[in-house]
Amino acid sequence: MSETAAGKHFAEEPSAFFQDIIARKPTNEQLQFQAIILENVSESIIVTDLQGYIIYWNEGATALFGYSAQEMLGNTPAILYPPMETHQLQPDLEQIREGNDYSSEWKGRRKDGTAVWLDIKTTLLRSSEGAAIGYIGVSKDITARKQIEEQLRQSRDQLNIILQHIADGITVQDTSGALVYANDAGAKLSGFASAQEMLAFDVETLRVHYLERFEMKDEFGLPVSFSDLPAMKALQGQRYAEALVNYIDRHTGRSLWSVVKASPIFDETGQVQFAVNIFSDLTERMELEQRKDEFIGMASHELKTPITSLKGFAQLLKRKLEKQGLPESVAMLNKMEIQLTRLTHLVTDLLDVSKIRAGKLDYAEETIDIDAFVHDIADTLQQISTTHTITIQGASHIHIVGDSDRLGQVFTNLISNAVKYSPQANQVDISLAVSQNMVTVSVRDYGIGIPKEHQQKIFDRFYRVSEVHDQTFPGLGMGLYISSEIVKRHGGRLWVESTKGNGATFFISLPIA
Amino acid sequence: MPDAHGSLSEKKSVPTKTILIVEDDASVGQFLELAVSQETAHTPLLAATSEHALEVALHAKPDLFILDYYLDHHTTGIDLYDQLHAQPELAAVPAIILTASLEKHQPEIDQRQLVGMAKPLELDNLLLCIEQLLSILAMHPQLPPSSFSSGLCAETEREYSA
Repeated sequence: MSETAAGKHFAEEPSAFFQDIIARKPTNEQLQFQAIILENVSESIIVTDLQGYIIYWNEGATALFGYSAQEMLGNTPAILYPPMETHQLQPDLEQIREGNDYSSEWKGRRKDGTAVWLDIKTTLLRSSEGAAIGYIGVSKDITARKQIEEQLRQSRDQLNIILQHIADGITVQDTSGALVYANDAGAKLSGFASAQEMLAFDVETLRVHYLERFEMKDEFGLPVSFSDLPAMKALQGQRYAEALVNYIDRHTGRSLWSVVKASPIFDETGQVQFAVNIFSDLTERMELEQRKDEFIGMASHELKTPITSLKGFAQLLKRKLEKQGLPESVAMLNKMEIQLTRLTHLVTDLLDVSKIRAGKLDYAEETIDIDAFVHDIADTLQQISTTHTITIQGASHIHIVGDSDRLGQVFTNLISNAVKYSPQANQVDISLAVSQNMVTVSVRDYGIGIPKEHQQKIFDRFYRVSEVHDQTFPGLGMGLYISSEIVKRHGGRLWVESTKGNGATFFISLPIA
Repeated sequence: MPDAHGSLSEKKSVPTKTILIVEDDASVGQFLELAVSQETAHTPLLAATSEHALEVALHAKPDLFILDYYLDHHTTGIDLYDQLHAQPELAAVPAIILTASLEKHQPEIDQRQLVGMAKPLELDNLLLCIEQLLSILAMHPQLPPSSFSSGLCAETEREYSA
């Protein structure tokens, strides 16, 4: 009856119980009714005897596997699960016999050779007297589900491969700070050999590891604490946080620069669920920047030696010519001296920029009477301005703590700019005011103004406003950058309000001592 | 700029003193030498290296040192001052340190209570400073250099860029 390797024995020697059933079948209505039910169930139901030979095969099984009952009776289910052999079923059957129901997902093969995924539950079949008489396996086709799962797995794998191969580091943290995802670049930028190694750490060990392993600094060389990291801000709900972090490996001394960007992922209720961090390795670029800044620093230092000679000899010559009573020559030397002083200032500014960049600009902490301080600077500048009247309104009556030289540099820069950029005007207005914990000094000019698109950029290093038809002004675009860095380091803020053609007002706010 | 044109050299209150200038840049050295010889009543001695400076100093026993910060073979003007100061007969001689990075070197200058001056120099300031140091010394010959406040001749104001 069958051509399968498993062979058939049922046809030759059916078990006593089933011989009985077969014998009684046509006459027992109840059994027939049950058989109809079994045939109509959409699940595949297969019954075997205790040796594993199929003695019952319903329509559901035929629909599922494509084999008819006739073909399968007397065979073992091993046919359905190639390359499995009959004897390999035995251990499972033993288990079931001992009372352990067996439930599992199997990949089977239909008669036409196609694959089918099954969810199978096999139980021991007992007679009404309780004796073990066989096994009953109920199977459901789960191929469709398996395919979706497989597609999901593939797209997840694909996504993972993409994420793993992105040059930027990516890590995801939950609200406890524990890592839920890291790609290899993220792990490597964090000092781990691989994402696997990094993910093995729990939240506390990870934090400790970080702090022990890395010294974190910002671009000014100031320490960055764990709570300063963008991830922590994102977990607090900040929509976007970014920081430039210098990771210095305490073990190897290796210095890594990384721009860290973090944003939160919210759940349906608007609660922060995760923070996604993206690390971009900026080490090479920062090293290049550092070399450039070092070069600027060195060059400006070197430039000072010839300027010292030039200026010295010019001043000596001037004294000589004065003694000889040659005012015209003295006037020419005065003009030379003014230019040498300008040159000195440019070189000094370049040196300041490179110091700021290297975090080497030092700040003294002195108590400054801000009103008197601003008045002094305005008076000094008034003496050298022949074109503008400098007025001061208001008084703060407070003291601040800061570096008087550096803050003097800021105010001088702003007032000089106000004069420089308002050649048609004749007035510069300064005002002093106190609000909350800050003192605000404003410097207003009535000059050409600053178009909106330039207002933020003018505080950038080497940025200069250049408009084709405008009058051009000399300079290298360092003054406002230096001023803004000095004010920042004093915990204050420097900003501008202006509309083109209507002058500009620069504001400096500084914390009150 | 303070106006002191021509006034200092005519002052005869301070008798002629010897000033040792140590500067490795030939041109700046020449300027300093000329500044002292033409604009003061004092005698300049110029050395380009610290070895030469030590030799000259022990021989000539100058009344004031003007030392460039960066000298030969990674020796600084401060190193040289320490060596000079270690000589008993030179221990009381004050010094002016010239540096293009005054801010950076101010701490070690202050520590020894010397006078630091920024390069490029203002000639008027330099001459004023020389006279001040020497007149204090003339009035109090036994004063140790530590009694010269570092703020003594420092430029009263930093010059700002516009």
